[in-house]
Amino acid sequence: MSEVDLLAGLLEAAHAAVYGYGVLGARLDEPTRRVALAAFDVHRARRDGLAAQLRARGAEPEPGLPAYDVAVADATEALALAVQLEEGMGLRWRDLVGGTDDTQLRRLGVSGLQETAVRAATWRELTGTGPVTVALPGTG
Amino acid sequence: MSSSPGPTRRAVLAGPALLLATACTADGPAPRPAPVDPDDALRRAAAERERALLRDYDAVLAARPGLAPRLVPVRGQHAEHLGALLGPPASASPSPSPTAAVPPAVPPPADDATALARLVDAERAAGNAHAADCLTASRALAPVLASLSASELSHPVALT
Repeated sequence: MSEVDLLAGLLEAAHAAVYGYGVLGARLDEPTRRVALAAFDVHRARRDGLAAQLRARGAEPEPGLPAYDVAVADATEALALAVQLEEGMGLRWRDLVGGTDDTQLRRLGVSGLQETAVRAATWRELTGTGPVTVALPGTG
Repeated sequence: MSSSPGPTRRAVLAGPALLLATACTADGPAPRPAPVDPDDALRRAAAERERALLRDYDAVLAARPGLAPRLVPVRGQHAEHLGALLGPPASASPSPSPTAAVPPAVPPPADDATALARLVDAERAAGNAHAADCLTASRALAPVLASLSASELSHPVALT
């Protein structure tokens, strides 16, 4: 897969993450919502950075969809969705690391994977079930 | 005259012969060193970082056994990291690590908070080193080091 394809896939996932955090934040209590808001801000910044990376490579970044199929009934589902969004982004960040020899993109991929792993662990800890961390973030 | 200050007949004859011999050696199949995979050194360095972390966890577990419920799952992930780098271990489990018997170089932590802070520091240092090596690794090894780095940097969430 080309670097542009990898970046485009990441941008698509980042659009979904931004939308998803907007939805799930409303189901959380105030302190937890602040954590979600911080994650929302990071994903939005990553999204804009990815769009810039695509433009720098002569590709037109796709806009996000008007809506995504996310249903969040309560705080438990909100936390589960947050974990899912982070894990989804993690897969794509890791793919970027293995799909480029460009040091700058490698660095971007590693830091993206690190961030998603830390946030996923934070959300898992709040769910209070199962292990907080995983051995190989970004893999199935 | 038999005594000449110039080059001897033997030396004159040997000169071109030596050159010829050298040329033959250069053209012939010279023994080459086995190709070195640059990933090997990165893999070994990452494995050594994981072994050091395993030793750190073993030292803390020995000194502060009450932390076991929190530490054992994370220690297990470092054993998985070693497996991801080196393939499955020869024995059934990498625990205890071969070097676990080496006494820790630092005195045992005085309390749980000190012990956990020490492990958090070690995790962050290893995570950053994995990330740095990831930049120069092959496309096959880089994602492994990236995952290891992300895992180490997420461990403080489980430790604090």
